Amino acid sequence: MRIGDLVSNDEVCVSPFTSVDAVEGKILERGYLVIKDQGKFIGILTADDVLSSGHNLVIDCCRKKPLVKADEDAERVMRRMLSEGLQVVPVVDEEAAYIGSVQTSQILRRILEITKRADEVKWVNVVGDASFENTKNSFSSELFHNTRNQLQAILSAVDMLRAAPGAFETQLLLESIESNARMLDELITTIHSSHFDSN
Amino acid sequence: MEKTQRSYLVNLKFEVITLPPVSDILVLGRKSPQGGQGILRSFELILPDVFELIQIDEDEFPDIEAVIVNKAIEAKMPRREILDILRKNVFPYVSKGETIKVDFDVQIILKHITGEIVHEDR
Repeated sequence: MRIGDLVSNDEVCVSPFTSVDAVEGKILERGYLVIKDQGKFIGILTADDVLSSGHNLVIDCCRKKPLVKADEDAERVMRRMLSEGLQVVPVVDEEAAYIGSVQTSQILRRILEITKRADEVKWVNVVGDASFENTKNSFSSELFHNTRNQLQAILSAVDMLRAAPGAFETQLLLESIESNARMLDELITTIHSSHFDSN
Repeated sequence: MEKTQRSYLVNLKFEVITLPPVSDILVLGRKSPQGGQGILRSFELILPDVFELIQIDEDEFPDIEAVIVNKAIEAKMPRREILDILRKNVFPYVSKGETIKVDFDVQIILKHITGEIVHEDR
């Protein structure tokens, strides 16, 4: 998944020499603001920037954030943002022109949407005189295909949690782990009750 | 009914000032209300192209965000030397929330200037 596919253009722009007092309500409401000077992109201002600097003007509070290219992999960008403690990054096209911004919460939501898609359980119940080896191979193959995505999502979420994200990201990652674990549990229960539980 | 008596006393003092109020160097604390870009912009409006903003590495000096230096000083001595002097003699006294004005008077001393005396024919 390209990070460019997640870019948001629904953003509030302010000029660089605006006072922080004038925009603090908007920052709290939106999470971040885009600083532009006569249409030219200057930077992204977050609530964290304002709290940590204490200056009066928007331009003085703004801390530089790394530019992300639109064709970069979303999950890789997500890991980088979490490790650097960034909640939002500016995204640029191949000519380094600003095209929009992406928040960690947007990337997480998209990852969750993908991993939450329920996998259909296709189980071929081998009956009758088929050989034991065929049954075993079939079972092993289905189990592999139907559990691998969830397991990878869980491992990926655990990996991201290690990067010490904020409370909101932690919550989303925990939800991802829980939902994938439940899918696995349901799958295993279905297999067991449908084909092996004689009671 | 008695009238209330009111009087006042005013002390006056006036003097000529120059703007901007800094001629040489300004040291900006990391938490000072006025940040580097804003101050530089205000200086630019009064005296265009005279001052320059130099950011200070946070790892080196956590309390200092930047210095604004008159370019005329940089014409007399290298930036590295200016910053070394400030690091040793000024930065240790600056708090996070302060903005400090520094008078940085540079005198260039040249010794042993030699040359050849050319006698003009009369």
